[in-house]
Amino acid sequence: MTDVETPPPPAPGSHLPVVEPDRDLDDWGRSTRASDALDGSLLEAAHKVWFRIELQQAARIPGRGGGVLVVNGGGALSPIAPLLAKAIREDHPRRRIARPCADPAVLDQPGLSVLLTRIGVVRAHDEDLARLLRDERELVIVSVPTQDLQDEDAAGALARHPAVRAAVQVGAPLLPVAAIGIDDAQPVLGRLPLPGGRRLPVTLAFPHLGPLGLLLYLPAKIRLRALDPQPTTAGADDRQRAVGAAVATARALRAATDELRRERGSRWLG
Amino acid sequence: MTGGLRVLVTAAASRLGALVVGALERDPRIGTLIAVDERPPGAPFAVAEFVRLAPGSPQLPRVVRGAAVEVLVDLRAAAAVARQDDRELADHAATTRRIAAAVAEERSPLRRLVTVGSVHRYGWHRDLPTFLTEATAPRPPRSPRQRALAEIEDAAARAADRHGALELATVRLADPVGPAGSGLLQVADRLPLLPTVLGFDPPLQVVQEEDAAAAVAHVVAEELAGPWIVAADGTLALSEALRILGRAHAPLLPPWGSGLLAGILQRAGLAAALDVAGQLRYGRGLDNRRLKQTGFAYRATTREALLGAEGVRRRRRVLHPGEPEPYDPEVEAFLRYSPSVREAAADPEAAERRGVAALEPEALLDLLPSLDPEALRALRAHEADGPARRRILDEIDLLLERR
Repeated sequence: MTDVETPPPPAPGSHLPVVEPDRDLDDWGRSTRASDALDGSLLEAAHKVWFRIELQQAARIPGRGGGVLVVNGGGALSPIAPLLAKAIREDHPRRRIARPCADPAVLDQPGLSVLLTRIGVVRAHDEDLARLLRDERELVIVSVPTQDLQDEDAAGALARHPAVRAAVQVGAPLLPVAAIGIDDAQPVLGRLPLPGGRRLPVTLAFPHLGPLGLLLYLPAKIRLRALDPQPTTAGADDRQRAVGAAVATARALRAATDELRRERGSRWLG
Repeated sequence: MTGGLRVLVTAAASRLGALVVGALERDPRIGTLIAVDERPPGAPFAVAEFVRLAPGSPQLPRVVRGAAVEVLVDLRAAAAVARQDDRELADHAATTRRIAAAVAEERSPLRRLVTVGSVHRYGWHRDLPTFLTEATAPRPPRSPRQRALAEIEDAAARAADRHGALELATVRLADPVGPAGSGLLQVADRLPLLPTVLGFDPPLQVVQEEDAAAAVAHVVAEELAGPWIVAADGTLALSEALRILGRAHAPLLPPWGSGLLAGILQRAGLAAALDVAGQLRYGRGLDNRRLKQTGFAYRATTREALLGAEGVRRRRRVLHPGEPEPYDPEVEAFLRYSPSVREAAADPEAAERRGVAALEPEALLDLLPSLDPEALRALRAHEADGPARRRILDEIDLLLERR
């Protein structure tokens, strides 16, 4: 059968859909009202009162253009991605909006599907993320567990992450952001093995308090530090470029988190 | 219409077919336009010649050969999907064979085949991107509708492959929305309350039917090849779309097992069940930028298309020039070819020019209060340029003064 040639892709940033300013939802399903409400209440309290978040070197995050923010401290129960998005809105010179991305399986859960989409979470899919990075020139947040920052983990899971693949495809940089304090806010006591090789984290409040446990965090002070952007253009092919950028990002994050830990006095007071 | 492309359009008696024929009639690059269908059209075409074919279109290759057709626009799939007529879509095999025969004939005059289908070809799945593009690989078909769409597209691709020099364009339309229908959401018309899936509010994108027809005409006239997605700007949430359409809905379907239920309903005879379940659970957004890059401009966004369709349907009034004239082939042949006829040939732009002028004054007066000031001013200018009915102009002035 003839393989019908696909027409060339649109020029970056061109012919995007018209914006209808009187609509609450954007085309990705993000609700301005819901995002603002969350931003002004729960995230505001978490940012200013509970975690007293400090974003250092915010100006290293580019003021324009797409990029993938890779922050450590991620995990099934971690709120680090929305907290980083809030910190960028508060402390970045251009107060940019960043969109956390989530696995399609998470966005396929009833309730979460609507809730996460309304607050701006996007699906971790190469095509969607390439559009966001290249055409809409947005920031996307990927959170990785701190214990997964070894070279081999980075070369495996992180390099295969759709956001990293999309960044390589469109030539957008990886923007590492080191985080400390988030792992202290809900320390993981152990992990229960689940079918399919996944592990369920056990914390002081989860799973015995059920979903409520997801909201119970200790008031550790969170420090974030934006690091130098990692280009995704060095390497012979896409795979090599992804591995190279992912490993360099993981190394930078390891070094920066060690440095941040050495600098801090108390994990609760900073 | 002299010189230019020689085009044949199938399913021309459908509403979408009539709109496509109308759009092609207005394009100066089209030289000869032949409209074919197995049913008579609702109204005569201004310029296109209509040929009624027997079921299965056995004479289609002859017509193609006889009229030296260069471009064949196969609208059957899109027209059946627009009408939500899955039975007709399922009966495509005979005509598909005739089209393949017309393409494969020795010294076939055809050099382009434009297959117009639907984005339902992509299927529904959580692993598909939020915005489908022309580069997205369609999922293996699951529902009868997806299967039929895939078969028609595959048959066209095979025919093009055998022909060698034939160019193939595959146009996939989002659900066309207009006074006659609102795509998959039409199921809400038949139910007092549309049950949605608990915990999901999927994306939805449609296209205004006139934009859909103009896009097909654009692909034909610009001689574009390859796959093309046609969808209006703007992706709505399902709840947003149902609110615009004024349809009651409630999350009554459980989040798990809706696919199984849809499968059972489909086996019970509800052919579109799997597609409706897919829309209610996953939905889809569409990336329309590649077609826009070729110079095509949509007139309405998804929201405007739904608003327009709902506005017209709520008033139970269809904005076309009154009752269509019945199609009668003998009368048509007499009016076109007899030397006794003294009136000039029909003007393809006449119907468009008539526009609101063709509406009865009473009908138009009823419509006026629902229009915003900008629309009122535009309508006033249009009326003043056209029939300039005093009552209409006075009423518009009065409304504008009050606002």
